[in-house]
Order: sequence, then C-alpha cells, then structure tokens
Amino acid sequence: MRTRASLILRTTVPVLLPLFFVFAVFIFMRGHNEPGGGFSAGLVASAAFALTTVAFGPEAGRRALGLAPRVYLGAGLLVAGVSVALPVAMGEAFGKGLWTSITVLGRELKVGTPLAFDLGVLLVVVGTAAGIVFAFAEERD
Amino acid sequence: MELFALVGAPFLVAAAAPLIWRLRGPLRAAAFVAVPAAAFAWLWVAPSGDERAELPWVTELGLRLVFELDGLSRLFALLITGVGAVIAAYTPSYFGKKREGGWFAAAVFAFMGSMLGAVCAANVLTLFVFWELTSLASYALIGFRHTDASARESALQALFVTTAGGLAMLAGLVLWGQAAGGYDLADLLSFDLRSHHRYPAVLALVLAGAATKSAQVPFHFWLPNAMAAPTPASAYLHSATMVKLGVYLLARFAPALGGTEAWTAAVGTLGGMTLVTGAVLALTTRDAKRLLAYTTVGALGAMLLLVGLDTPGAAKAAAAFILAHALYKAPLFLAVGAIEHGTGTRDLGELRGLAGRMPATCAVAALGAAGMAGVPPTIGFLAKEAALEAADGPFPEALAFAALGVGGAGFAAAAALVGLLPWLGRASARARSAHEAPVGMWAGPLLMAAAGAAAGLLHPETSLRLVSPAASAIAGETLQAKFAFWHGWNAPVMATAASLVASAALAVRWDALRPALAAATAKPGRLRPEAWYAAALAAVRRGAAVTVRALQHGKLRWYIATSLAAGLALALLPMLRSDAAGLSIPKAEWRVYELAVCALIVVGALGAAATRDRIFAIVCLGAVGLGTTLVYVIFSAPDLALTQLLVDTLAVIVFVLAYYHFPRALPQPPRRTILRDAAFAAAVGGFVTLLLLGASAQPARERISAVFAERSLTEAFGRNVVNVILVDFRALDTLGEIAVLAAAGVGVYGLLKLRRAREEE
Repeated sequence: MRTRASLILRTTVPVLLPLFFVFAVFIFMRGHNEPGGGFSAGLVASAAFALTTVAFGPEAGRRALGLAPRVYLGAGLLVAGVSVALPVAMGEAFGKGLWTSITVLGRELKVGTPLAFDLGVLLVVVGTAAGIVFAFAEERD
Repeated sequence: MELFALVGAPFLVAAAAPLIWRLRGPLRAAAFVAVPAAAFAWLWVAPSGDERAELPWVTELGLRLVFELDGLSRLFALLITGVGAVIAAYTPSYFGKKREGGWFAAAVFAFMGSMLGAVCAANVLTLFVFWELTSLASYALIGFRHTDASARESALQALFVTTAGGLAMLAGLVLWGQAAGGYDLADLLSFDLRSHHRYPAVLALVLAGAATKSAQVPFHFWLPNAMAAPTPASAYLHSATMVKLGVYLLARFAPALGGTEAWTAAVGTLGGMTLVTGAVLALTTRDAKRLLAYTTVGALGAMLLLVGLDTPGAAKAAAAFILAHALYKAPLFLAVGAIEHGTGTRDLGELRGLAGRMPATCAVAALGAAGMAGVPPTIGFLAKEAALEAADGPFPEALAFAALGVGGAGFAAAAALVGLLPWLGRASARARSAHEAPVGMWAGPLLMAAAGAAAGLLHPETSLRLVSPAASAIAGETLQAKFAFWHGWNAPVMATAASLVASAALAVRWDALRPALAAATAKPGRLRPEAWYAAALAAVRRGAAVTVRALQHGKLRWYIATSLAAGLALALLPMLRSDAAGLSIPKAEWRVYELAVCALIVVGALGAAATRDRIFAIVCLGAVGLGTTLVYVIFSAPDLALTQLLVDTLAVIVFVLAYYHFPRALPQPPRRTILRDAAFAAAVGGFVTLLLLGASAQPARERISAVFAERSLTEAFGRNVVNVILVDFRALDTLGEIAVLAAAGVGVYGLLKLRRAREEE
C-alpha cells in the first residue's frame, strides 16, 4: 500500500472483524427459517476480508483468510456437488434433501444435505469475492 | 452382470495402465493380456442363450444401460478380445522401454471397453455413447505422436468425419425411436419402419453414420491418413475392429431397415464403389501400411456390399468375411510393424529378400497374405467363395459379382506385394542390416494368422460357433451356414481363378504399373473428397474468425451493449405479438417515503451517468443500490434486501479498489456518443418497465411461488421459502450458478495476475 488507510478504519476493523464473522455464522444458521443463508453469509464474510484488505493491505487479508481463495472455491464446489450427489448413493433422487438431527450442547440441531449445500455456496462466494478483492488490491502496489 | 464386467474391466485396466507399464519383462505383458484373454475365454464357453444386463438411468427418457449378447455381438466381442489380447502382448515389445507406452496401452484398453460396450449395447442410446467413445479413443491413438503436426491433423480429420456421421446417426435413431416409442433394440427392430413415412430419412441418416465410421466412399480418405497411429493401434482399431462398427450397425439393423429396393441400392452401391476404390488405390502406394489401409477400405466396402445384398447367402458370407478379415488383416499390419522395427522402413520398393533375416515375421506375413488373397485352406478362401456365390445371379447381383471379382484381384495382388515380394529374391540394402523382431511381436500375430487357416480347415466347427449365429442375427432368421472347399466348376471358382491370375500378373509387373496406376487415379483437386473436407474445414475456420472478431473485441461497454441488445431483440418480438394494449399502470396510493426512495434511485442513476468524477459515479451507483434495497424492504422481501445491500457494499469496495489507479476525472465523450448511449439506455429501461408491467398483469394463479410457499415447510422443513428454493427445490440451478461464480472469480484473478506476470517479463 502506498498510502495508509484512515486511522478510524485501522482502529475499528480489528474490533469489527469478530463481529462480522459471528454475524456471518448467525445469518448462515438462521437462513433456513429466517432471512439469510449461505449466499448472504458469504457476502458478510467477504466484506470482512475486504475491509481488512482496505485497512491493512492484501497480505493481511490473505492472512485472515488462511487458505488461498482458490482452495475455498474448490472446496465449496466439492461440498455443494457432493451434497446433491450423495442422495444418489443412498438410492434417492439426485438433489433430494436428506435430514437427520444431532444433539449439540443439549439442544437438538437439524442437519441435512441442504445445509451442506448452503455451506458450499458460502465457500464459493467467499473464495470468489476475496480472490477478486485481493487481485485488485495487489494491483495497487 | 457378467456383461457389465466384460465392458467395465478394460476401462479398469486402462486406468491402471501407466502403473502396469512399470512392471518388468514378461510380467508386464502378462498383466495386459490377462483381461482380454479371460474375456475371450468366457465368451468362447459362455452359454449359448442370450445374456442380458441392465442398469436404469433416466427411465422417463428411455436412457438405460442395457447390454445383450447375441450371435452377432458375440462374434464381434470375440474379435475385440481376441485381437485385443494379441495387441496387448505386442504393445510392450513395440514400445520397449519408452514410458509413453503406458499411455498408449491406456487408450487401447479404453477403446476395448468402448468397443465391447458398442457391440453389446441393446439400447441405441447406449450404443451411441459407446460408438462416440470409440471415436474419441481413435482420436487419441491417431494423434498419439502428438509432436507431429500431420498426426494431429489426421486425428482431427478422423474425429470430425466420424463424429459428424455419429451425430447424423443419432438423429436417425431418435427419429426411429420416436416413431417406435422406445429406444431398446427390441423396440426398434419390432417396429414396422419400412412402411413409415420416416423410413427414407432414417435410412439416410443411419447410413451416414455407418459410412463415415466404416470409411466408405466418399468418406474413405480418413482411414489411410489414420495410419499415423502406432502400428498396434492401426491393426486393432483401423482394420480389425472399430472401422467395422459401421458394418455392425447396418448388419444389426438389416432385419428392420433392409429388404427394400432403396436399401439394396444405397448400401450395395456404397459398398461396391468402396470395394473397387480401395482395391485399386491399394496398388498405387509403396507405403506398406497405407497399402493395407486401402485394402481395409476395400474390405469394408465388400462387407457393406454383402449386407446390402440382403439374402441369406449374403448374410452368411458377410459374417464369415468379418471373421476372416480380422484374422488376416491384423497379422499383416503387425507384420509390417515388425518389418519397420527390424529394417527401419516400410517402403515396399526397398524391401527384398527378407525371408532369411526375419523368418518368423515372414511366416506371419505369408499366412496373412494367404488369407487376404483367398488361398485355400484359409477362412479367407471360404468367405470369398461364399461371397461370390451369394452374388452369383442376374442384376443387381451381377454388378456385385463384378465388384467382388475386381476387388478380389486387387486384394490378391496387394497380398502378393506384402506377403511374397519383400521376402523373396536377393536381399536389398535394407534387408542386409535387418534383424528379427522380439518374440512378443511375432508370436501373437502368428497365432492369429494360423487361426485363420485353422478356421478354414475346421470350417464346420467355425460355422457352428461363430458364423451361423452371427448370420442369423443379420438375416433376422435362424440360418445354418455351410462351407465347402469345392463346389464343382461354377462361376465363383472361375472368378477366383481369373482374379488370382490377374493379380499375379499385376504383382509381377507392379514396379512398372504402379506409377501409371497412380497417375490414372490422381484426380484433380475439385474431385477429391479430401479436398471437400479441407474446404469445409477452412470455411468453418473463416466463419469462426469473423464471429470472434465481431463478438470478442475486448471492449467491455460493447459486450454489455451486445448482450442487452440481443436480449432486447429476443424478448421484444414475443412481447409485441402479445396483447400489449392490456398493459396498464396499476393504480396505487403513493406514500411519501415510497416517492422519496424512487427519487433516490432516479437521482443516483442520473448522477452516475452525468458526472465526470469516477469516485462520485461509484457513490451514485451505491445510492441506486441502497434505494433498491429500500424498495425490497418496503415490499417485504427481506432476503432480497439483505443480499442487495451486501452485494452493493462489496461492489462499491471492489469498484474503489479497481479504479484506484485510473485518473479520477472521466474523459468527456463527444456529443454523438452521449446521445447514442442515452437512446440505448432509454430503450433498455423502457423494455424492463414493459416486462415488469407484463409480469404483474399475469393472474396470480399461474405463479409458481404459491406452490413453493406451500411446500417449503412440509417437504423441505424450512420456513424461509427463498432459501429453500435456492438450496433444495432448485439446488441444481444454484449449483450451476456457483460454478459460474467460481469461474468468473478465477477469470478475474487470472486476467489481473496474467497481465502482471506479462508486465514483469
């Protein structure tokens, strides 16, 4: 980065980041019954990485993302693809939603292939958006 | 179940081939030979009842994997696995230590599985899939020496010609299947197509598929060019098995498509012309492999001719000839491969007196040539006699008889050129430095060529096991094929004797005759089918260049304009034809905040268009996005609102990052550009308005959203209909969308990074 981002941004982003991620998880989990879902959650998470990039540069954004964006892309497509193909292996129609419930911390939680599919959507959105943001930000150097 | 194993096992070997290639010595050859040899043994002893295996896929569309094994399938499957075993033993010696041999073996085994699938398929859609797979395997094998431009071109030529024919065949099969109400062979064959109005179209389309695959005139040119493939592939695909698929197809359909004058005229003429063309052209080349390729073209023509004759005798002769041809032609090809290995050339003009240097290969070539010339006691002789006998009659049989006579003479002369002349006489310079090929390169071919003689000697057994069942399937009735070496002084014997004498004269005087023959058959460019192919290919390339230049110019605003204009044109036509007068602006009470939101959107849009400041334009676009979000909020679409807000936030960030290096001031466009863009924008805006009015004028009951809302909780256990649609009801759409998204992401990344990498160079 040739110029440093504003002081306000640099101060608030580290505080906001955890909130963004918690919000993303929240949006993702409620998506089945309330407004939200994998696409929106992916956008929220991407916004967090984009803000990190604007405030501290693409290296910081990449550190926050952990793995390369293309890994997210591939993993997302794989998870989504497997989740719609899995029912075929179980003798059901392609793309049929399979559900089961597990108990986490004493609460019953419903999980199923549509949830995994949504996770795949989230990963692809993060991979794409973060990849584009990093690529543009690295152009600036 | 056994049939799935039969078709599937070669594919497994193909996947493991590069690993198997690392084994050493005899172990490697044994590992390759095991599967085809076991399959051959199973087919040989398999119960005579018709085997069947089935796996449904999309039953509503008639898409099923169905395999059946009847007499015709079994004959072909035995050839595929039998010749395949010999090829599998030959390949390791042919490639020696070269690592590419593993990839070659992979392609050969993939071909073996595809070919077995094609001849065992009892559903024509299954047949089509495996049919095209053999074309792909053939493409990979012809272009195997991929550093050689001419090999690549030949591979592409073979692929284009055969897949074009394959598509025509598919169209024909679909027409037929629609009329018959099913795509199983049983459905098609039991349907009375001959009196149906689609018969001529189906016949022409299926014939196009068969003619391209089996290299019939005028599509024959791809086969000699396919000799760019390594010799084991030429022997296996381009003589013994794959090119016979066209013959197989017509033989398979003969009970339903045959028996008409159109069939006899079309198939017979095609086959007869190809027979004569191949037999004559074979004598014009000094390249032993090309010579054999032309005789293969001729032999395929003979098979088609026999299928076209459509008599019980012709069916028997066709089945016998299919067997005989594989048993003599594959060894001849493999012998040429061994000659090339031992002498470094396959130019017939340079090869004389090789017998002493390469005795084993000599035996292979001599036995193979005996089969090709139709010398007793080979099965080749019996097949030729049977063919001539089947054609012994008045017109149109008389024409076929003449074609078979000319073809037989050509084959016999070609057999002498490959099977006698290179081995006799004083050793030429090449022959003096020759050495015998390794045992793997002659043992299998010798066995096969000897089997050709044995099949003739044991003809009652051959007939019982192989020829009669196949002939019955071709004729559509149970036949008993009987062969004999001597029928008395009849026309076929005379014709055989005459053609042998003629061929001996041709072979002896060949050195003098060949140039004259080549000159006589050299046609001007306009009359050569290969030139038509080249012209068609050039036309496609020119068309592609024009289209690409017109559409892929690299200017973003023109891409957007093209997409919008195309959408406009496509959607406007049906809209104009529909009842446009019925559209009216719905009456509604406007609230103040609604007006305020609309004003925000309009001002934002105008601002983005009018400003000459880049950052301000981005901010204006953000305002439009925010206004749209508010519209969604007002009309209670919280999901859309959330997504729109997030997308816009991210878009603004990306825009800012993207335009960081651009000068902040936008250039001032000329007045004409402004007017043009304004008119275009107004057209698109007006169109979208009309679209929305039209959509809201649709009665509510036709909307699908109610169905989704109803079933969301009961069937997908989610209250959020939007998300349930995305991840459950329409998951396949979403999967496609995220795939596009991922591709776009990779594309943007690649564009930016590649440019950077270029700049750094």
